[in-house]
Amino acid sequence: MDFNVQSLSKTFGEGRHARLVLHDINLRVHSGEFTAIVGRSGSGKSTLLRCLAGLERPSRGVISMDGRAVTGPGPDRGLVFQNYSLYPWLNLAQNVAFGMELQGRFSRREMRERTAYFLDVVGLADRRKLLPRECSGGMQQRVAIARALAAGPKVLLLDEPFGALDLHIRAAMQNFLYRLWERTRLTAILITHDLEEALLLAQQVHVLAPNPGRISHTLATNFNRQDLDNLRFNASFLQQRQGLAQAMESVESCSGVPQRVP
Amino acid sequence: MIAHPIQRWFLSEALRSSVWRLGLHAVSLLLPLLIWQVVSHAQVVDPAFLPSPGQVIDSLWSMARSGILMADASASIRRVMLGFLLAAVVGTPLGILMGSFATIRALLEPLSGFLRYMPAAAFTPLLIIYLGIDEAPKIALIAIGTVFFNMLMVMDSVKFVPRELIETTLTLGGSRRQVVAQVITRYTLPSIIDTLRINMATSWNLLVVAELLAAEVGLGKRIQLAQRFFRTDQIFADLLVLGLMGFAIDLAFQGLLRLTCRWAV
Repeated sequence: MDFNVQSLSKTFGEGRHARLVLHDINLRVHSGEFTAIVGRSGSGKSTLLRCLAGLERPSRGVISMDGRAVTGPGPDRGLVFQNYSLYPWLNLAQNVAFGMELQGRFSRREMRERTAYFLDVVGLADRRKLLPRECSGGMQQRVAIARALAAGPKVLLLDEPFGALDLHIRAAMQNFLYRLWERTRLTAILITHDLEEALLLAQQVHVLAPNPGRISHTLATNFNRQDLDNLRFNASFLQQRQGLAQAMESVESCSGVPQRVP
Repeated sequence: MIAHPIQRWFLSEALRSSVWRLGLHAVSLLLPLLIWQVVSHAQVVDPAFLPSPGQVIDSLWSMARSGILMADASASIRRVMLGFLLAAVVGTPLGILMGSFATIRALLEPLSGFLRYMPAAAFTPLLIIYLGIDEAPKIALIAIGTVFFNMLMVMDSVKFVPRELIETTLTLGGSRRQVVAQVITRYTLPSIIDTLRINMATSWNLLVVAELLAAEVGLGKRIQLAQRFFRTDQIFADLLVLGLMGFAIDLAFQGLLRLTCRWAV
């Protein structure tokens, strides 16, 4: 799998009201790699993810998946939103199976097996008959992730997936997501405003500076992730986190590229 | 001073005891009945104008025994159902399409917004000219008077489908057709059932208008005949039947909603 973004720019509005939101973004995501894009609100990070998903058309530049240009949303790029977005009339198992049913390329038996497998992966095998409204936010988000994975994407796009959750559930979900990644070796792109979350989970961290959104820093992390709860308080982890936070701060205080489109 | 907590009613708070709720329901129905009984018993109003509840029940019973009531009711129900179904079958899909696609909305919204304000009853002479005096113009009148409300109300309910749900469906591999048929329609189903329930009342109103014009049987027709013979007891009896049937249909829709959309109620 080769997911590639070349000199992507995105402008909203036209003429005098044109606003440059993303400027010259270049990204390459490798198979089986966990990438995080971290930025403050207003940095255009959600717009970037929407472009990757095909829900937003870039104004300039190319997004390609295995050499083919991305022109719209498709099942090769799974998406998980902040607010879960489960189908309220389907129970958890039916939610997980829904993408496979839409695609129609799985046999009945395959769908049954994959549904059971991914429900088990997210630890909700025994809750399969519940309706979404009977579940907590953390459970719903796990189902949303299972649903996205069951549809068989090449890359999983996560838009602030834990942003709506309480702090202590967030930490548990981060651990969960990392274990999930270890177990399935999925290719993932995580959008977050939380530096800790980005450093904790991703091997590649891109920092998106605002006005207009552009990649200001890229770093590869190399932590021992045996115990994430320990890592959160590990000295070198905290040091890197602080260094990156300061770098972000300094980039934001001096604006880089002109805001208006020439 | 320590404020004493005072139990008050809050807006749209559910009543805690079902006995209390049923009691209020009973009062809502029985109190007017009681007032009616008292007023007619005291003969404040000439009994020819206001028959007593007893007289109305007698009249209802005699109409039921002679078979008139069944004939009237079944003719009326048939008309209402056909007109209403026609309006539902045409209006619901159009409303969903209008809500889902900006082009279809731009095409149909002005027209239906305009036609909605033409009183359906005013179409009756034309319908009689075009369709004759049989069942067709009556059913058409009910359908015309209901369909535009269906379209606009269903269209509005589509606005409440979360955008993320639609986008999620697209990224799961769903086509636009699947989004409309399996997500938008399914998500709005509770609103659609509610829309139909509300607009059933419109169909019901138009039924009587339709029957006043040219009909052999029907509850509306019976009311008109009763007026001619000054049978206020029959008018009251038919009104009672109309109200009860409408109420029963309303309850049936509520049951349907609970049955099909457990997730939404």
